[in-house]
Amino acid sequence: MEEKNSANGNKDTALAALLAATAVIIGFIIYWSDEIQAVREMLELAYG
Amino acid sequence: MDVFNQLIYDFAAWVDTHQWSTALHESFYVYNWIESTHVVALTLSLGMLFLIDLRMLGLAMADIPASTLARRLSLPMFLGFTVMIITGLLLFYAIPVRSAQSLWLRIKLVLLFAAAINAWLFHRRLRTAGQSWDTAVKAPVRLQVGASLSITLWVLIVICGRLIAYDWFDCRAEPSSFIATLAGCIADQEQF
Amino acid sequence: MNRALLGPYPRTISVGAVIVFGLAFALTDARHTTWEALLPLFEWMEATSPGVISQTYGAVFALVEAAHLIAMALLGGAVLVADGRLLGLILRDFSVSRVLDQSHRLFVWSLTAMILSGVFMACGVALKVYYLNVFWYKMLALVTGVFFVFFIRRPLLRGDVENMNPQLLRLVGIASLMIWFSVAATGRWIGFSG
Repeated sequence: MEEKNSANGNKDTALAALLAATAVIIGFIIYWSDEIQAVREMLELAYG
Repeated sequence: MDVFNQLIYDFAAWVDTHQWSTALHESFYVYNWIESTHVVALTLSLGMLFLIDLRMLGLAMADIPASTLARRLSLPMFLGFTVMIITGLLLFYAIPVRSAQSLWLRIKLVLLFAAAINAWLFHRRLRTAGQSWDTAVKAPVRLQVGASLSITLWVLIVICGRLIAYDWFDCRAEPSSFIATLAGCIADQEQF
Repeated sequence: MNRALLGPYPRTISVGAVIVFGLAFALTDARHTTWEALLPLFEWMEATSPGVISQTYGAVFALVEAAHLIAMALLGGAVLVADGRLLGLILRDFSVSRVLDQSHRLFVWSLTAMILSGVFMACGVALKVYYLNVFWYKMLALVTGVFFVFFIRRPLLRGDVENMNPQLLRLVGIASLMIWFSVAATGRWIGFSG
């Protein structure tokens, strides 16, 4: 029982880490590609 | 001193005539990204340097052998310093005259020179210090002195670097003649 | 209680809930309402003594900025060493848990210094940053980073790291680097905006 609990615990932290890391990476890509897009549009506006 | 200041001013004014210098200065995004890179690269250059110094003082990473840590973190540290130098030169290139006459940049450069000498002495001592103390919490006193000096110098360098952005002692603010000489202001200069 | 309520995966379910709640908050009116409700707080911040000192003495503000940068270098050092080890780039002959444990104390101290100096500066320019999107993105990244370190990375590394999937460790390292890069870069951008 003890062992099963700890195995479940390990799996839980690993799954939580996988979920959180994936969410962070997706969020990062969305935010920074949006920023770069905005810069590009500004530059195009300024220099044509 | 006046001849020296005139020479520096002439050089900066010449750099200022470059088209790329003006373009860089006027480009909001490129200039700010270069400055951001200069700041964020502190995490790599000073981050690694502080870790090594704090390890010598027994204040961080005490469980990792000191000379191993110093050796392993050197490469990322130099990588960081390379980025700092390149972006730093670009920042100077973008605003040459004002930077050349910045009291803070001048103090910063002197401190950088001192920090470089200190780093050279530190590494020489590190090489000759042997390995017997490697797993001890603190390094030998000679290395601790070097590490403390390094931290102090770099803290001052960061402060000077940050203060360059402020215009308290700019030539156009007409500081006292002593400060004006130190900052390199030229009488009746036309460019700032 | 947790176990009974959330089954065998309380942590995973909590993370999922935070993500869903965060998205709901971002995509509904709740975000705007909360932002409006926070205005008095920022007005009050400017009137506090750190706020008044920052606005009166430019030199004090500049020195706090420098302190913030020095703390950032320390925090960056701690983060880069820890995540560099997770990615297998640095100190490879020392175990992951050892390197991360060793850098954690520095991380906590420098984070504390950053938050103290950061709050001081925010008081000085409270109403400026209140209207800046990039400030709120920075706060989001910062909260995510703290949450990620204490609720995700540390619990994960308390487990049996040697038998863990190395790809998972890499993913965690990359995500952590992305968060702290964003905190630093958006932070610098606050200075350029407004």
